[in-house]
Amino acid sequence: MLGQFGPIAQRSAGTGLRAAVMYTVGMALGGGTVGLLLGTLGLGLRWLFDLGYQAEARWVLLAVSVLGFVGGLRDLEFIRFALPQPARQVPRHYLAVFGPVWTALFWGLGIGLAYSTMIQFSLYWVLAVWVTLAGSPVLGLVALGLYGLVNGLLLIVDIAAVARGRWESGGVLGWGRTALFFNVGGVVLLACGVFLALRAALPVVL
Amino acid sequence: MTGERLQKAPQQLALGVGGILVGAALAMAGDAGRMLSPTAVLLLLAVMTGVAKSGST
Repeated sequence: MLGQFGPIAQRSAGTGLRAAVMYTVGMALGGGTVGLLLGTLGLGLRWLFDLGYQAEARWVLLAVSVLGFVGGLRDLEFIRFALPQPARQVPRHYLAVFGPVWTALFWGLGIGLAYSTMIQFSLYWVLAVWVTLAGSPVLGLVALGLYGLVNGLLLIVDIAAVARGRWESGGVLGWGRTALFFNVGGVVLLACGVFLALRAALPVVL
Repeated sequence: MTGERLQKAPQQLALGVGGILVGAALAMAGDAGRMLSPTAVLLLLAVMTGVAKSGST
């Protein structure tokens, strides 16, 4: 998104920032909606298969632990496989039709709903499966809403930096952040996998 | 394994071992560790996912 809204912020800081705020609203709403739906799906599956309603049940922790390991190994490039993701990108012609501010809202919604976005990192899938297995619509709403909110807030910070003339470096975290996030995401997922495995295996001792 | 991947392997291995050690340390930490519930970890993961998503610049 920085690549889309950065040039707009260079021309008009106010328009760029308004667009970033609208994108944040769309991302939080879209993400929260997906979380709510996944949590509701999980709740339905728990009812259907009589799995109980404890979000931190041991089987949930173990399942997410395994996913965390696999995702962490993938993001650190120890194993290779493609993640399922939609083959759509945000429609660029919206900019000409709706202008940057409303386009930002629609794009944020589309990305938050995982309808039109790349899913490069394993983190998203681990998170999505976790909120589904937890079977709590509220937890799903909060978790994926938080995902959208944080992503949007970071764009606002980036756009503010660009508006102050930091375009060449690519905002606060720079253009080369993707490689960094694969490593950080991999470490976080492995840490998460071990944490959950130990918590599930040794609940009495710990 | 390509040359580039082979060159990166020690760094990736160190990161992987580091992640495992951090996870184990957090799980086995005393009072501080107990405060970090799985739900809190889920929310931290959500924050990290939001940050990582900004990599698709």
